[in-house]
Amino acid sequence: MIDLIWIVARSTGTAALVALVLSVLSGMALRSGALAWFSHNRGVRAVHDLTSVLWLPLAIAHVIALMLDPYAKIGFADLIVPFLVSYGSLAIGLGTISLQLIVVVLISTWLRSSLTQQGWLAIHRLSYVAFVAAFAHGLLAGTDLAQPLLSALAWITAAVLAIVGFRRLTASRGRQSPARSKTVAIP
Amino acid sequence: MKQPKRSPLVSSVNVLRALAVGITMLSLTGMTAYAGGHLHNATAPLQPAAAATAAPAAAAATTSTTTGRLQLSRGVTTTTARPVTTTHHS
Repeated sequence: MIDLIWIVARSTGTAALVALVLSVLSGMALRSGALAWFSHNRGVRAVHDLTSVLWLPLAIAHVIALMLDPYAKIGFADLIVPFLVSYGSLAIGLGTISLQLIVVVLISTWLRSSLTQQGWLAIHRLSYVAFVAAFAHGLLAGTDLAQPLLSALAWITAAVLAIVGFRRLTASRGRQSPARSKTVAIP
Repeated sequence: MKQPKRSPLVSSVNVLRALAVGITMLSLTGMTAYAGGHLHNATAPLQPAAAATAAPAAAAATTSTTTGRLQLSRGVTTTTARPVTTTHHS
Protein backbone atom coordinates (compact mmCIF):
# COMPACT_ATOMS: atom_id res chain seq x y z
CA MET A 1 0.00 0.00 0.00
CA ILE A 2 2.80 2.41 0.90
CA ASP A 3 4.45 1.61 -2.41
CA LEU A 4 1.21 2.44 -4.24
CA ILE A 5 0.95 5.79 -2.44
CA TRP A 6 4.55 6.53 -3.36
CA ILE A 7 3.88 5.66 -7.03
CA VAL A 8 0.76 7.87 -7.08
CA ALA A 9 2.68 10.75 -5.49
CA ARG A 10 5.40 10.57 -8.14
CA SER A 11 3.14 10.10 -11.16
CA THR A 12 0.64 12.80 -10.21
CA GLY A 13 3.47 15.23 -9.42
CA THR A 14 4.99 14.76 -12.85
CA ALA A 15 1.62 14.89 -14.63
CA ALA A 16 0.69 18.06 -12.73
CA LEU A 17 3.93 19.66 -13.90
CA VAL A 18 3.16 18.62 -17.49
CA ALA A 19 -0.35 20.12 -17.25
CA LEU A 20 1.16 23.30 -15.81
CA VAL A 21 3.67 23.48 -18.68
CA LEU A 22 0.81 23.17 -21.20
CA SER A 23 -1.15 25.83 -19.35
CA VAL A 24 1.72 28.33 -19.21
CA LEU A 25 2.75 27.60 -22.80
CA SER A 26 -0.76 28.11 -24.17
CA GLY A 27 -1.23 31.19 -21.98
CA MET A 28 1.92 32.84 -23.33
CA ALA A 29 1.09 31.80 -26.90
CA LEU A 30 -2.28 33.55 -26.67
CA ARG A 31 -0.63 36.96 -26.73
CA SER A 32 2.53 36.25 -28.70
CA GLY A 33 0.97 34.08 -31.40
CA ALA A 34 3.84 31.62 -30.97
CA LEU A 35 1.53 28.70 -31.71
CA ALA A 36 -0.24 30.36 -34.64
CA TRP A 37 1.26 27.74 -36.97
CA PHE A 38 -0.28 25.02 -34.83
CA SER A 39 -3.75 26.34 -34.07
CA HIS A 40 -5.89 29.45 -34.02
CA ASN A 41 -6.28 31.57 -30.88
CA ARG A 42 -9.65 30.06 -29.98
CA GLY A 43 -8.11 26.60 -29.83
CA VAL A 44 -5.11 27.79 -27.82
CA ARG A 45 -7.47 29.47 -25.35
CA ALA A 46 -9.48 26.25 -25.03
CA VAL A 47 -6.27 24.35 -24.19
CA HIS A 48 -5.27 27.06 -21.69
CA ASP A 49 -8.65 26.89 -19.92
CA LEU A 50 -8.68 23.08 -19.89
CA THR A 51 -5.13 22.53 -18.64
CA SER A 52 -5.59 25.05 -15.84
CA VAL A 53 -8.45 22.91 -14.56
CA LEU A 54 -6.69 19.64 -15.40
CA TRP A 55 -3.78 20.63 -13.20
CA LEU A 56 -5.88 20.96 -10.05
CA PRO A 57 -6.95 17.32 -9.40
CA LEU A 58 -3.44 16.11 -10.20
CA ALA A 59 -1.89 18.55 -7.75
CA ILE A 60 -4.46 17.66 -5.08
CA ALA A 61 -3.78 13.93 -5.61
CA HIS A 62 -0.01 14.62 -5.39
CA VAL A 63 -0.41 16.47 -2.09
CA ILE A 64 -2.82 13.92 -0.55
CA ALA A 65 -0.55 11.03 -1.53
CA LEU A 66 2.44 12.71 0.10
CA MET A 67 0.43 13.45 3.23
CA LEU A 68 -0.59 9.79 3.46
CA ASP A 69 2.96 8.57 2.89
CA PRO A 70 4.64 8.06 6.27
CA TYR A 71 8.07 8.18 4.63
CA ALA A 72 7.56 11.68 3.19
CA LYS A 73 6.47 13.15 6.55
CA ILE A 74 4.37 15.94 5.01
CA GLY A 75 1.71 17.33 7.31
CA PHE A 76 -1.29 19.58 6.85
CA ALA A 77 0.64 22.51 8.31
CA ASP A 78 3.18 22.19 5.47
CA LEU A 79 0.42 23.07 3.00
CA ILE A 80 -0.26 26.33 4.83
CA VAL A 81 3.21 27.40 5.94
CA PRO A 82 6.11 26.74 3.54
CA PHE A 83 9.62 25.70 4.64
CA LEU A 84 8.40 23.88 7.76
CA VAL A 85 9.40 20.35 6.74
CA SER A 86 12.27 18.88 8.71
CA TYR A 87 14.21 17.93 5.57
CA GLY A 88 14.60 19.66 2.19
CA SER A 89 12.64 22.63 3.45
CA LEU A 90 13.54 24.77 0.43
CA ALA A 91 12.59 22.11 -2.14
CA ILE A 92 9.28 21.25 -0.51
CA GLY A 93 8.56 24.85 0.48
CA LEU A 94 8.80 25.87 -3.18
CA GLY A 95 6.13 23.28 -3.95
CA THR A 96 3.90 24.76 -1.24
CA ILE A 97 4.41 28.27 -2.60
CA SER A 98 3.64 27.24 -6.17
CA LEU A 99 0.50 25.40 -5.04
CA GLN A 100 -0.75 28.38 -3.09
CA LEU A 101 0.01 30.84 -5.91
CA ILE A 102 -1.76 28.76 -8.55
CA VAL A 103 -4.80 28.31 -6.32
CA VAL A 104 -4.90 32.12 -5.95
CA VAL A 105 -4.60 32.50 -9.74
CA LEU A 106 -7.40 29.98 -10.31
CA ILE A 107 -9.70 31.65 -7.79
CA SER A 108 -9.00 35.05 -9.36
CA THR A 109 -9.93 33.61 -12.76
CA TRP A 110 -13.24 32.34 -11.42
CA LEU A 111 -13.89 35.76 -9.84
CA ARG A 112 -12.68 37.68 -12.87
CA SER A 113 -15.97 39.48 -13.43
CA SER A 114 -15.78 41.08 -10.00
CA LEU A 115 -12.14 42.19 -10.40
CA THR A 116 -10.70 45.08 -12.39
CA GLN A 117 -8.73 44.12 -15.50
CA GLN A 118 -5.50 45.47 -13.99
CA GLY A 119 -6.08 43.64 -10.72
CA TRP A 120 -6.87 40.38 -12.45
CA LEU A 121 -3.80 40.71 -14.70
CA ALA A 122 -1.54 41.42 -11.74
CA ILE A 123 -2.76 38.27 -9.98
CA HIS A 124 -2.66 36.22 -13.20
CA ARG A 125 1.01 37.10 -13.74
CA LEU A 126 1.79 35.34 -10.46
CA SER A 127 1.40 32.12 -12.44
CA TYR A 128 4.88 32.73 -13.92
CA VAL A 129 6.35 32.85 -10.42
CA ALA A 130 4.31 29.78 -9.52
CA PHE A 131 5.60 27.89 -12.54
CA VAL A 132 9.23 28.71 -11.76
CA ALA A 133 8.65 27.60 -8.15
CA ALA A 134 6.98 24.37 -9.32
CA PHE A 135 9.80 23.65 -11.77
CA ALA A 136 12.45 24.26 -9.09
CA HIS A 137 10.40 22.08 -6.70
CA GLY A 138 10.43 19.31 -9.31
CA LEU A 139 14.17 19.60 -9.83
CA LEU A 140 15.14 19.83 -6.18
CA ALA A 141 12.61 17.46 -4.61
CA GLY A 142 11.56 15.33 -7.54
CA THR A 143 12.85 11.82 -7.27
CA ASP A 144 12.46 11.19 -10.97
CA LEU A 145 13.92 14.38 -12.38
CA ALA A 146 17.28 12.98 -11.26
CA GLN A 147 16.98 10.49 -14.12
CA PRO A 148 18.92 11.76 -17.16
CA LEU A 149 16.10 11.23 -19.68
CA LEU A 150 13.45 12.96 -17.57
CA SER A 151 15.87 15.70 -16.63
CA ALA A 152 16.68 16.31 -20.31
CA LEU A 153 12.96 16.46 -21.17
CA ALA A 154 12.35 18.91 -18.32
CA TRP A 155 15.16 21.23 -19.43
CA ILE A 156 14.09 21.10 -23.09
CA THR A 157 10.56 22.04 -22.00
CA ALA A 158 11.95 24.87 -19.88
CA ALA A 159 13.97 26.11 -22.86
CA VAL A 160 10.87 26.09 -25.10
CA LEU A 161 8.95 28.03 -22.46
CA ALA A 162 11.78 30.53 -22.14
CA ILE A 163 11.79 31.08 -25.92
CA VAL A 164 7.99 31.52 -26.06
CA GLY A 165 8.20 33.78 -23.00
CA PHE A 166 10.81 35.92 -24.72
CA ARG A 167 8.60 36.17 -27.82
CA ARG A 168 5.66 37.10 -25.60
CA LEU A 169 7.75 39.85 -24.00
CA THR A 170 9.00 41.22 -27.32
CA ALA A 171 5.47 41.04 -28.81
CA SER A 172 4.04 43.12 -25.97
CA ARG A 173 6.94 45.61 -26.23
CA GLY A 174 6.29 45.87 -29.97
CA ARG A 175 2.64 46.71 -29.33
CA GLN A 176 3.58 49.36 -26.76
CA SER A 177 6.19 51.17 -28.91
CA PRO A 178 3.87 52.86 -31.48
CA ALA A 179 1.61 54.07 -28.70
CA ARG A 180 4.56 55.60 -26.89
CA SER A 181 5.82 57.36 -30.01
CA LYS A 182 2.32 58.71 -30.58
CA THR A 183 2.22 60.06 -27.06
CA VAL A 184 5.55 61.78 -27.59
CA ALA A 185 4.34 63.31 -30.83
CA ILE A 186 1.39 64.98 -29.14
CA PRO A 187 2.43 68.46 -28.07
CA MET B 1 -0.51 40.95 -54.31
CA LYS B 2 -2.08 39.61 -51.13
CA GLN B 3 -0.75 36.22 -50.02
CA PRO B 4 -3.32 33.61 -48.94
CA LYS B 5 -3.39 33.11 -45.18
CA ARG B 6 -2.07 29.68 -44.14
CA SER B 7 -4.50 27.63 -42.08
CA PRO B 8 -3.18 26.24 -38.79
CA LEU B 9 -2.20 22.60 -38.39
CA VAL B 10 -5.09 21.75 -36.04
CA SER B 11 -8.26 23.77 -36.36
CA SER B 12 -10.67 21.68 -34.28
CA VAL B 13 -10.95 22.83 -30.68
CA ASN B 14 -12.02 19.38 -29.52
CA VAL B 15 -8.98 17.76 -31.13
CA LEU B 16 -6.77 20.26 -29.30
CA ARG B 17 -8.50 19.52 -26.01
CA ALA B 18 -8.10 15.78 -26.59
CA LEU B 19 -4.43 16.34 -27.41
CA ALA B 20 -3.85 18.25 -24.17
CA VAL B 21 -5.65 15.61 -22.09
CA GLY B 22 -3.77 12.89 -23.98
CA ILE B 23 -0.34 14.41 -23.27
CA THR B 24 -1.18 14.82 -19.58
CA MET B 25 -2.65 11.32 -19.25
CA LEU B 26 0.28 9.84 -21.16
CA SER B 27 2.68 11.42 -18.69
CA LEU B 28 0.53 10.14 -15.82
CA THR B 29 0.38 6.54 -17.03
CA GLY B 30 3.97 6.56 -18.26
CA MET B 31 5.21 7.88 -14.94
CA THR B 32 3.05 5.36 -13.04
CA ALA B 33 4.57 2.51 -15.04
CA TYR B 34 8.06 3.89 -14.60
CA ALA B 35 7.66 4.53 -10.86
CA GLY B 36 6.20 1.05 -10.39
CA GLY B 37 9.29 -0.47 -11.94
CA HIS B 38 11.76 1.85 -10.20
CA LEU B 39 10.73 2.14 -6.57
CA HIS B 40 14.29 2.67 -5.39
CA ASN B 41 16.16 5.75 -6.39
CA ALA B 42 19.44 6.17 -4.63
CA THR B 43 20.31 9.22 -6.75
CA ALA B 44 17.18 11.14 -5.72
CA PRO B 45 18.12 14.68 -4.75
CA LEU B 46 15.99 14.60 -1.64
CA GLN B 47 15.79 11.93 1.03
CA PRO B 48 13.97 12.36 4.34
CA ALA B 49 16.12 12.51 7.46
CA ALA B 50 15.16 8.93 8.31
CA ALA B 51 17.04 7.70 5.27
CA ALA B 52 20.31 9.22 6.37
CA THR B 53 20.22 7.69 9.82
CA ALA B 54 18.55 4.37 9.11
CA ALA B 55 20.38 3.41 5.94
CA PRO B 56 23.77 2.63 7.54
CA ALA B 57 22.08 0.55 10.23
CA ALA B 58 20.11 -1.32 7.60
CA ALA B 59 23.22 -1.96 5.58
CA ALA B 60 25.01 -3.32 8.62
CA ALA B 61 22.16 -5.58 9.69
CA THR B 62 21.57 -7.19 6.32
CA THR B 63 23.79 -8.44 3.58
CA SER B 64 21.75 -6.58 0.97
CA THR B 65 23.53 -3.78 -0.86
CA THR B 66 20.39 -1.90 -1.87
CA THR B 67 19.34 1.16 0.06
CA GLY B 68 16.27 3.26 -0.44
CA ARG B 69 12.65 3.72 0.38
CA LEU B 70 11.37 0.12 0.22
CA GLN B 71 13.84 -1.16 2.75
CA LEU B 72 13.09 1.68 5.11
CA SER B 73 9.35 1.73 4.76
CA ARG B 74 9.02 -1.96 5.40
CA GLY B 75 11.37 -1.96 8.35
CA VAL B 76 14.77 -3.50 8.80
CA THR B 77 14.84 -7.25 8.92
CA THR B 78 17.49 -9.12 10.84
CA THR B 79 19.34 -12.03 9.38
CA THR B 80 21.12 -15.01 10.82
CA ALA B 81 23.16 -15.62 7.71
CA ARG B 82 26.86 -16.04 8.13
CA PRO B 83 29.15 -13.33 6.81
CA VAL B 84 29.77 -13.75 3.12
CA THR B 85 33.35 -12.52 3.25
CA THR B 86 35.94 -15.13 4.16
CA THR B 87 39.70 -14.99 4.28
CA HIS B 88 41.81 -17.68 2.79
CA HIS B 89 44.82 -18.92 4.67
CA SER B 90 47.27 -20.87 2.60
